[in-house]
Amino acid sequence: MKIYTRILLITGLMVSMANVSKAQLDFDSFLEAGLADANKLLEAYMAPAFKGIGYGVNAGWYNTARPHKTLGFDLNISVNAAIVPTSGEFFTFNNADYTNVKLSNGTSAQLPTLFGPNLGADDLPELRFLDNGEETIRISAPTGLGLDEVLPMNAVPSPMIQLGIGLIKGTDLKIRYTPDISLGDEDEGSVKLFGIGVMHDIKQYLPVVNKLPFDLSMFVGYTNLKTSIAVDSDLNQFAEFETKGTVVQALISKKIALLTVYGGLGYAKSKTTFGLNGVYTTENSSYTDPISLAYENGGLKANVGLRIRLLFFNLFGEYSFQEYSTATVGIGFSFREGASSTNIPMVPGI
Amino acid sequence: MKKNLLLILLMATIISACGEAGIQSDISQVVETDPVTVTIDLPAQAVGVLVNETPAITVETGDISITSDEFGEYGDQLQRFTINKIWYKLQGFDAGNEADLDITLNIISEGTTTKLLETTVVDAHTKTDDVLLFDKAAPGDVNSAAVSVIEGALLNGTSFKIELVLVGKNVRFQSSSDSFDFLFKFDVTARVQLD
Repeated sequence: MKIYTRILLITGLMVSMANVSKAQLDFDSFLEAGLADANKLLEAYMAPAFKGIGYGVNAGWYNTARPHKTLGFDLNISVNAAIVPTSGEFFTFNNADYTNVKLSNGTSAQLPTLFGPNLGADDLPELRFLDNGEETIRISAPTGLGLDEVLPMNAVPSPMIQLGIGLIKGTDLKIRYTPDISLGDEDEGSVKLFGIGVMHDIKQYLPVVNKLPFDLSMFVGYTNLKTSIAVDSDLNQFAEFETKGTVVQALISKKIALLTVYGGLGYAKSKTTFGLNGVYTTENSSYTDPISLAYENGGLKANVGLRIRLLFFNLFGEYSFQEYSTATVGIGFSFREGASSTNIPMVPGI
Repeated sequence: MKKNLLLILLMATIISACGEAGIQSDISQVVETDPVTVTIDLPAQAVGVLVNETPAITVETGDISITSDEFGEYGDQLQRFTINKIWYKLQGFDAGNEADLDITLNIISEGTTTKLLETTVVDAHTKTDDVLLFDKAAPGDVNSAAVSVIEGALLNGTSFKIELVLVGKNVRFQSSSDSFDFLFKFDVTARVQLD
């Protein structure tokens, strides 16, 4: 669980980097430029992080289309990495879209997002912060983290832990859950995860098809991830974000000896909200809950995966094709998996 | 607030790399110094008369310590300072008084004086708006060593002074004395490196 907490913490920290770097590099100026400008700039800068989490929470729900027998169960831990597309590494800053933040040179520029390259100050456009038309300060545009320079891929991780339980008539109930886990000290923040999904064997209702040697199910899942990180707990300042994801898919899988090949096709959507909550006082003003952002994704989701079963243990990997394609790797164990009369084990006992 | 943000930043930075390059940013601001008052006295018989040249007057600004005022909070994360531009303006000339000024500007830092530039300000009494004295992009006759002295003082957190040696030229006053203020503005860029 500690590892899980840590991974979630990492996710949260990555997501809060924009806030951090802004704060580090004169957060007061950022706020005093006006909340509308601050929200607009931050929304564009952080979009890949929040979109990525939205795609990530909808992945990794299953590694077979075959439900358990009644009271059979599986427990899986997985990491979903939503790969930030090249188009998500930069956003266009237009002077016309902002009131009190302008480029020092030119009227439009491509600025890195949080998941863009880590550029040095010489390569970053400069932003001018204005107050009633008068320049107050100039700051390099926020840089990206350059994650692809140190990690195998430029991706937003979403760790998941889930339990699947076989009910009756070819139905699995899947639960994602962590209690309210504190991050560090008790008042430094928390992470809470809840998800529920149902997978139901539909092949049993389809004449002819039910004789074919594969498994076919429908799946619907909902995930809710809430994270809160203290900016200053003494001042009751918190960065909070919540992601809600829903996925509906038709699943198909085929087990061949130790291997199960599976795939899904359907629709997934998510909504992520981020708020910088509390009262923030600058030299000139106070701001209550100054940052409030919302991101929504939705669209077709197609994925393919492969599972290797070694006794009770499962290793699985999956790839989802969508705007932010998502790679999933996981490990778990499973008992009392359902049997299919048309799936003939090639290795006795498996 | 800053303490926790720094903590988060530290952790995030470790996570992200490992990011050996860290995060780099330039922060630039125009900083105005306190005015330094200059008084030109003329003998009574010179009032209303064109005076070719007055005796030299030497004045100094107070200690200028931009670091502590504007950039001090970045502490060890400051990598370097760059002076982009320097402006001056004059305020408080009595109405009707006219003068050109030959000015020598020196930078005094840690007991060492370095000449910044010599210039003539024609019709000084009209220079009530900012006049560009130095532009990094076109430094002209400005002594780059003196600019480096300023940048070094800013980085080291030490103060410096500007010494002005002024000679009035083509002076025509309607009174025997006139006091006016010199104000300097610096466009300064601080490079911050967050490791």
